[in-house]
Amino acid sequence: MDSNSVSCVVEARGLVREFATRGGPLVILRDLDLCVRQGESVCIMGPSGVGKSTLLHILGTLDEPTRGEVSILGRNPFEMTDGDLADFRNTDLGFVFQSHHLLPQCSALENVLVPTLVAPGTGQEKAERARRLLSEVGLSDRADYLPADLSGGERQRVAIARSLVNRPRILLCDEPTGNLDEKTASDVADCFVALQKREQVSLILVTHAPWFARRFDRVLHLKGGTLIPDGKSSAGLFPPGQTP
Amino acid sequence: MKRGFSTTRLVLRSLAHYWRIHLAVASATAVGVAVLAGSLVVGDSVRASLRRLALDRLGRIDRVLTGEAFFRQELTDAFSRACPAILVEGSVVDPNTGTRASRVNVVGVPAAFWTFWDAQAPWTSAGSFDVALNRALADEIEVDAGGEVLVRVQKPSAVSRETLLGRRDDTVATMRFRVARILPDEGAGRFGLVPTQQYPRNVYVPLRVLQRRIEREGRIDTILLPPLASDPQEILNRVATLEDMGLRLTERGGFVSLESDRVFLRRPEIEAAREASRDVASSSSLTLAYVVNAMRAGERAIPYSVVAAAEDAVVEEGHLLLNRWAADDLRAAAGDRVGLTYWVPGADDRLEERTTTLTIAGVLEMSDPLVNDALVPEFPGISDAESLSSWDPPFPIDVDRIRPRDEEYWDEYRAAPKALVSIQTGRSLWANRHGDATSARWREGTSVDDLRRALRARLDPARSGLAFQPVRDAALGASRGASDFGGLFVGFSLFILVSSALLIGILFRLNVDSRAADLGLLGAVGFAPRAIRRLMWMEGGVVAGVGALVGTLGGWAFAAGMVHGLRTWWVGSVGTPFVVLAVSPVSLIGGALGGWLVAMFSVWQTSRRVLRAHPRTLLEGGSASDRLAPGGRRRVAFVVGIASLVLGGATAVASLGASVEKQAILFFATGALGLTGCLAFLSAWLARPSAIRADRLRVTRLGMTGARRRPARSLLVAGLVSCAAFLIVSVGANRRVAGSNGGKQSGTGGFTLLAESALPLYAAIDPSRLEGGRAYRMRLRPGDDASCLNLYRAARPRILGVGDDFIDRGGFAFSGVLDPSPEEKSNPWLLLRRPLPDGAVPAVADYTTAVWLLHSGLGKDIEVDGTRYRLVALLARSVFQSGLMISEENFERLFPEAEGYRSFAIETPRGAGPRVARRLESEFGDYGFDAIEASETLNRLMVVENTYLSIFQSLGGLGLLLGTVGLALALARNLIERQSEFALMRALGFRLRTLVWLAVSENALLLVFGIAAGTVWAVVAVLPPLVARLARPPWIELSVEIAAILLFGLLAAGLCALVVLRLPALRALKRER
Ligand SMILES: Nc1ncnc2c1ncn2[C@@H]1O[C@H](COP(=O)(O)OP(=O)(O)OP(=O)(O)O)[C@@H](O)[C@H]1O
Ligand SMILES: [Mg+2]
Repeated sequence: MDSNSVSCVVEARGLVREFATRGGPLVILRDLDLCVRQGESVCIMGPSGVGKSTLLHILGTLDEPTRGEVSILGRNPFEMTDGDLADFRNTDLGFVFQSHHLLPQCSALENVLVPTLVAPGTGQEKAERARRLLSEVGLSDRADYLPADLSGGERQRVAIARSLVNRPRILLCDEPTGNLDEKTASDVADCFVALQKREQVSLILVTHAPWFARRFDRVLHLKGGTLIPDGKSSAGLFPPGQTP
Repeated sequence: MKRGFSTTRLVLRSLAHYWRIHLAVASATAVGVAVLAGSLVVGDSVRASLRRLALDRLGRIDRVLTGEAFFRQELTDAFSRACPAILVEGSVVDPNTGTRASRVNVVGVPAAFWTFWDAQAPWTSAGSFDVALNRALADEIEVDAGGEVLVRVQKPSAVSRETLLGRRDDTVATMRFRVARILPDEGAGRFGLVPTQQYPRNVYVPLRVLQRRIEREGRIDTILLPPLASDPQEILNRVATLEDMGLRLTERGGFVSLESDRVFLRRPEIEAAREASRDVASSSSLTLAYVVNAMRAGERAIPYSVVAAAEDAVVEEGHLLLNRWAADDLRAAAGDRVGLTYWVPGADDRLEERTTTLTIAGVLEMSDPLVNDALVPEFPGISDAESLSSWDPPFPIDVDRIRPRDEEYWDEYRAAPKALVSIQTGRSLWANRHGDATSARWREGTSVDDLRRALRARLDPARSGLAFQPVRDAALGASRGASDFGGLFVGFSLFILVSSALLIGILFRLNVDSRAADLGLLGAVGFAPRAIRRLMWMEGGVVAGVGALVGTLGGWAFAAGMVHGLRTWWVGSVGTPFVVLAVSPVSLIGGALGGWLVAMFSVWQTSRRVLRAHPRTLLEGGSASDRLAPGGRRRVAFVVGIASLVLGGATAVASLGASVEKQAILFFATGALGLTGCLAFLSAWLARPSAIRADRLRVTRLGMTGARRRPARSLLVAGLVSCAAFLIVSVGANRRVAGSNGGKQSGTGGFTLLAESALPLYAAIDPSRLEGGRAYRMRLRPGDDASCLNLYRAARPRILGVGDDFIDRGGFAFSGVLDPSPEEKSNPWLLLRRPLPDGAVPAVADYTTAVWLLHSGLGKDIEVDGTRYRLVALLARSVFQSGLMISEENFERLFPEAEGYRSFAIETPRGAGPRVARRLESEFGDYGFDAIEASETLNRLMVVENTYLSIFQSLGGLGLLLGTVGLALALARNLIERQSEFALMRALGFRLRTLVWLAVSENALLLVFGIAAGTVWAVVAVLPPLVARLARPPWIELSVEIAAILLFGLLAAGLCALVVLRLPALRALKRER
């Protein structure tokens, strides 16, 4: 990698992802390139089924590309051992899923704490941070609720708090507001942007909502398996001042 | 939150949240553990009960000496608290009704005997004519206290009845007694030295009375000892005299002679005599004295004379020395020929007269030291006779031939030999298997005391049978049991165990499948696979642990149930209701641990599969466990299916002509291949892409696609059910139904009667008594019963010596023969005659006896009392369980002391069996002759086998039931999982009935498929052996059983579906996250 790209915390080059189907290989991502800088917020848009989740899963090390290089924080996650990869996910990455995936048996606070179970640090310190995050997403009085007793937006906010509990450097969000009404979605979005700025994480977020996309440093469109910069936005495919 | 959040807490939360499925897993574990621990406890109970019984029947008796012959009662005085006894086998008859019990243990004991059990002697005084019977005997002959019985025993004789001087008539003593008491079948009432859980039949007679009636006053044949501080054998070796060993040293006629009660000296005794000579600085000469019926020279003859073969007689072979009296009487001189006519014991207990002609080498003067009465051992009836005509020898004599001058000779010279031959000549004429010398002689002047000491030092009392056996230790050793009941019940319950293991697997997988997304999340937030696995293990460990704990209690209950069964419904397998529950913590803990480990194994399996999946797959709700690859693997499944079915069919056909042993292997091969084939097809079908064509959509088809959705689980369920059905049907079909199958190649060998006598018979059974049938007699060395009727370990199995007639006759079905020649293949009995290069004795045994009771097999060796027996052929399901069979020739070589014939296999014309049995029993009643129809013996053995099979079947059924319950459980879980799907269908207007049918059809498919596959292949696998045996299994019973299981399974599924689907639809929809 050249010296320029060192500033990319998330970088993808020539990324290809195919799925084997009965009718032959189905190409979802085709020669995709991407670079996201430290502290930058990037929004990815595109029609349903185009491969946004697929891309996010690969960047989140949950899935492997068919071909192409991925470098996250300067490391290739697919060459790490299982243990290293798990630690990497645990400390450096945060993930908010399209469906929130809370453990039904654990309270809101406990759900936030789940990632800390395999992270270093004292219980006291972790619990404090979890509480603070919960109150920042406006759920301090719901800490002991089970997911079944929370509303959809509340669940999503718990998931956001959980994604930040280990102070990740990169946050990946897959339509965090997809299932929510406009008002709640807007609350969640506010909460997101505030936290991202404060924690200085790099954010890659998928959404269908244009009003949400406007709040990002950059907006990219996934089309034909590659990313295309948003015409209206000043920002291009690469952060200002960089060419591949 | 009060305390910190931790992994443990997360596990606890999961346990509480998913309690339903965890309860199910724990229950399945509990059942598995209960059955495993319970089975082990059954084993403990049987062992403990055998042990208790062994100790009970011995009381405080620790060691026992049972002599070959009688010895002085004073020998007992050397031991503190020893009890003298006479133990003989006999028969007991009720004189009023004639009811007879054969093979009764006649126990002649003093009052001291009862102190071994802290009891009182049951008779009033030791000299009375009172006896006690135990309950088993009293019940058999239906006699009560106060009644009378006739007890018959053989009069003991040291002299073999198979030698010239052995008595053949007047061998039985009959005694009339009053029954003073009936002893319960426990403690002293169960006294016996042979380990068995069956009831012995005992009659207890005061020792003194018995001694008097069998003319052995002051003599006994047994010493019973309590535990002693010092080694009793050492004491015995010190105090035993030559007399106790059946030897006597006499000083008469200028000689000191060593003679035996048995008439013939044994090899070690002869050797001891030679060596003792050195100690006393003298030399010994052996003598073999014989009675000849006539000595003839020309026209003249002398009746009834003794001729002696002596080592110190200087005469060539083929010659003899006459004494002066005889030479004069015969008017013969050196060079003349003299004919000797004498009896030899021939076949069938008849004496044969033989004549030998020898040349006179010279004449001995009457003063010659060898013309001496002392050359002839003392023999009751001969040497003590007043006159020659008052001789009372055990062979016929014609008193009319005795002349006055013979009486004069007797008066003057007594039994002094009239002729002498060399010892070699004597041996060639008169030696037999009992020996070839009647005395060893030393010159007068040899110190008798020194000689006695020297001889005694060289003779080991143990070699004359004066050896203490550690009966208590042996009994405890034997009570480890011939077969391990723990293992047996684990085997019987194998199906329950497998079911519960599979159930645990199914349930755990269900649990994991439904939580795949949760596991995926943990992976996504940075839990390493190892950490996730640890969580799963902790969860599984706790659940299985709770299950194991509960199961331990269940094991207790299960064992109690099984023991109850062994005392009641299944008592046929063990004979008597002697088993009591004995719980050992080791077994319970072992069972719990075993069950827990099995559960943990399936946790491990499941976690391994799940963790192989990518977190993304899991997050999307799929689990790797159920992804069957399409295409390629489906083709493989097809090929495997076809190959297995074809091979299975081939093995079934091959098994038609195979030997019994091979049939067993082929049976399993057929079953395994058949089931594998069926399941492979099912798997191929399940993996088929479930493209439902819209135009053919029907509810049942929807159900089938449901089965396809979780192919691995469906396969597991079908496999479980098919294995169960296979086992139940094949075991059921193997039940033997008593038949009139009495062919020569059958288990009875074509014999109608099997008989045994308490006392040996010497004469052949007169064929006229058999209505044209034929009796084959066998020699018997008694020992431990190694048939399935005895639960104790048979360390010394009974040994039968079969005659040449039996061997040449052939017959019986064999399950295996050790590399036979073509001739031996058609009659494997011939192998008994073939000497083995390494000196092992060829033996035939029943397959069950060899494999299950003696833990041996074809071609293997069994060592009994230092002799190696090689199993050269194994009988298939024969009447000859209980021991080894060897050729009579080998038998006589190995057991020269065994007398006569005690076992008989009898052929009679059709239908004459019972009549012949009655006739023989009354004719040989004095001998304790006991004849049983061969088919009944076979049935009795069959009852044991069938009872075991029914235990197996009951437990197998229980296992299948459990499997079905599991199936219903899995179904319920599956339905709950898919509640929203069903709720949606109801919202779309489906009827409840339709949906229940949909749910049931999916499982019914698997159930029907499994049962059908199992049943069909069981029938295919089991048919060839059945055809070969012409047996008819209980088909109807089996069909009902299978139908009941199918019905139960469907009902359970339907009920379960109904309950779940009735739940309000809204709740189901809300469960969606
Ligand atoms: N395992 C798979 N096998 C085959 N095809 C797959 C697999 N996973 C995803 N796809 C296909 O890949 C395409 C992209 O899926 P993806 O989930 O990335 O879409 P998306 O852009 O996130 O859509 P949405 O906005 O609806 O969430 C879809 O057409 C989907 O059908
Ligand atoms: Mg998506």
